[in-house]
Amino acid sequence: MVRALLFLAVLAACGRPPRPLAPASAPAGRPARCPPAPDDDVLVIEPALTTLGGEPIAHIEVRGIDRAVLGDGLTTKAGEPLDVERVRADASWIRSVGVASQIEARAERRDDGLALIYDLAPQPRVARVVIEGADPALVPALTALEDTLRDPARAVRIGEVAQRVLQMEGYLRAQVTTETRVACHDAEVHATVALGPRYRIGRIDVTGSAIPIAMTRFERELGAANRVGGWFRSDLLVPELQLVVQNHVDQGWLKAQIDPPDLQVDEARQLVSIAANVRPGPRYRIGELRIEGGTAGSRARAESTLRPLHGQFFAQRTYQRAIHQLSRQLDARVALEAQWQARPDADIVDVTLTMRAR
Amino acid sequence: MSRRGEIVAAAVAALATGCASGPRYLGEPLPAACRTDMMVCDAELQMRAQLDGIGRVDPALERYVQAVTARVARASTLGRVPRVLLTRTLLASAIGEDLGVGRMWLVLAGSEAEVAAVLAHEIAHLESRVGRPIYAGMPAALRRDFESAADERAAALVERAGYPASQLPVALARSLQDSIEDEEHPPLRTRVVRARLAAAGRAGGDDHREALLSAIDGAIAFRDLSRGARVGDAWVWAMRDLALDLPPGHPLEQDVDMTRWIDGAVTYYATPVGPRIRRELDRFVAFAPRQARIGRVLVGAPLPLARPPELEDRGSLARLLVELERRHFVFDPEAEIAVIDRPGGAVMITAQGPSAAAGLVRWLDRLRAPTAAEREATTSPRIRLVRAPRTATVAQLSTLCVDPEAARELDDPARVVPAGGRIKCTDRKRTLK
Repeated sequence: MVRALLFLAVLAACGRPPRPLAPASAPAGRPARCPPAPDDDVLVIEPALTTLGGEPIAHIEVRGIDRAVLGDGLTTKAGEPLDVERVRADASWIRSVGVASQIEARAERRDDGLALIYDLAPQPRVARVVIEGADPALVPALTALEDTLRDPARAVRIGEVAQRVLQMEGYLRAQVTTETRVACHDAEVHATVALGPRYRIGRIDVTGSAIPIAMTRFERELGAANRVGGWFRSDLLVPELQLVVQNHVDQGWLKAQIDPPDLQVDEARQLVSIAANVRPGPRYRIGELRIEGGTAGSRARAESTLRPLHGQFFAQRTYQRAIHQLSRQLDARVALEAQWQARPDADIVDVTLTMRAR
Repeated sequence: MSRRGEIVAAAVAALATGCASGPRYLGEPLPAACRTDMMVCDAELQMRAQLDGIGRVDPALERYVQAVTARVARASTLGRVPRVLLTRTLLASAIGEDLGVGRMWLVLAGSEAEVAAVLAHEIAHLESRVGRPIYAGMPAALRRDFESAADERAAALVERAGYPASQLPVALARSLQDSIEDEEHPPLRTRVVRARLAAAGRAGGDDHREALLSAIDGAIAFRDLSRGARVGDAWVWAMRDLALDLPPGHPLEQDVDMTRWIDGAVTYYATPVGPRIRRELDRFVAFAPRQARIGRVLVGAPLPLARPPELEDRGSLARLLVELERRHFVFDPEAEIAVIDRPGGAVMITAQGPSAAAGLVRWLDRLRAPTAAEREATTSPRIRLVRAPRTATVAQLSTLCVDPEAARELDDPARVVPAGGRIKCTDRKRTLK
């Protein structure tokens, strides 16, 4: 009832009678009637239609929207018998496409036969996006909704994305609420942004690391994210912490892991402290070296190149460099395949080098 | 040196080709975006590699699209004009903060306004500045929200740029008619209907069809056959002046620039490469010269990986460079690779499977220079504009063209062209598709 009153009030304010919804000649995009209240989503199939099933349709009229907008989307055709289920399907399709918020299908008996009428209230366009509480440039996903068709649910979802982006960029407490309002022929998206403070990184602690960790290691190589004093970027934090794990793996701690970071937020100073604990596990050394295939000469060369690695920590860069160097020394017709396997009962990696003729 | 520094240094060492001033990729300094945004950097470097493989698509046409882009961008909230790169595979897509635009689609567009409409959709995406990692992590339903909003926003941008917004639904329908529907975009019919409503009531104006026609005059009309096409029982890379004799009826598949065929247990991949990628190959394959029917070719095996696979997923410039390197230069350890140096670059053939080396040698002896007839057959038809002597539809006027069927494919057959207007014909009959 309240909705109905509101609806009438909107119509009255725009000086349009509630019926007919719009003259058939109303220009598309500028509806002659005011659109419904934002929460209206009305699909009405006139009950009398059911009694007319089977009667031939002389005319089909689309009101409120230029019929060309719908293209050949209507399956109901003039000259064919009225099929209420097809009318219902057409009306449902119009609703699913989202070009009309009110759809009414009804029939009029005229001198020259039955007229089937789809009376539509077109979705208005978003004439304005009003951002309160923040610079609109901070929520471009919302400002880009200007000129789109009114779609309140979509605006809310995009508002949630905008909120997520803000939070990832350091506005940890950012909240975005989005509402679509209709003012006669236009819609407005109102977004209220409670931005809150932007947080910087106050401290980065890495515990448990087997190798020295400099705080600057968390900087992106050419950026300014996730360093002490810089803006906190949650989206970049985990990949950057993985770098610590990789440092360990590269130097022989093959089973290194890092716990999920513990974040402490100092609200007063708007700083985030990051604590991450590394669990390096055992450090592996190179154990047995097996050389398979190849000629006596190539095997001897492999032996002399790789033997010095025996007993050393399994630093992958050194290991790979040695194999690369060996492949340069050997005949180009020799294919090298190097595999390493960690022993289950010891912190040792055995290396097998296979040489094949191509 | 810090660990970070080591990684950068390693990447530089791996990728630099005689560089003295910072990291390079494919022998050239990195784009400015690599200092600020890894995602944009990634996109631009990928595009660099792609362009090296296929060459600059059509610089004159690219300049024209750049001008249309500038016009639409000025109507938007973007503070800069995105750079345009013409490609052969895309319709249009944002590449970082720039745009990739498909050459073939431009030729098929009906007017400059249609081109502007497609660009406006992409510019609307750029306006919303939802970064690729966020976008990629969204559920499909949310991505559809952004796609539908970009369609609708595009109507306003097109109008503000001085084009008729009514061309937006036309462009969507034309450009997407053959596309496969995906979860990420609303169904085409829904997009077109919503675009019609978004465009309805907006100002009309000249669709600048003549300007588009002038820009595409002389452009390759369909697929660029010089990049690889079958002529009888030969595969011809006319752009590299190279042909491969095939056993009668031997099947081949082509995917963009890559040609693939199977012989016994060995699979072969052949692709034309540009000079920059060709240069880099020397660092990843231990080549040895060999004499084949075509002359000197290089054959070799991939050098062992400089890095173990565990290093793949690290997010930084160095890691990005390593990852890009892997995409182009990491081969199956058992693969055998041949490079045939030709004018403008090379053709690379990779053989994978048991006895790949022996098989590859046999196939290399099937390489030769194309015959005159093969060169002629792989010369792509180009657009030639013809004036309509009377007002008629494209279908009716297509009889004026040397290849009426091609003319009907290049435009809407039902389009009415006034007397004195121009239609898209081709300069030769299409013999290969």
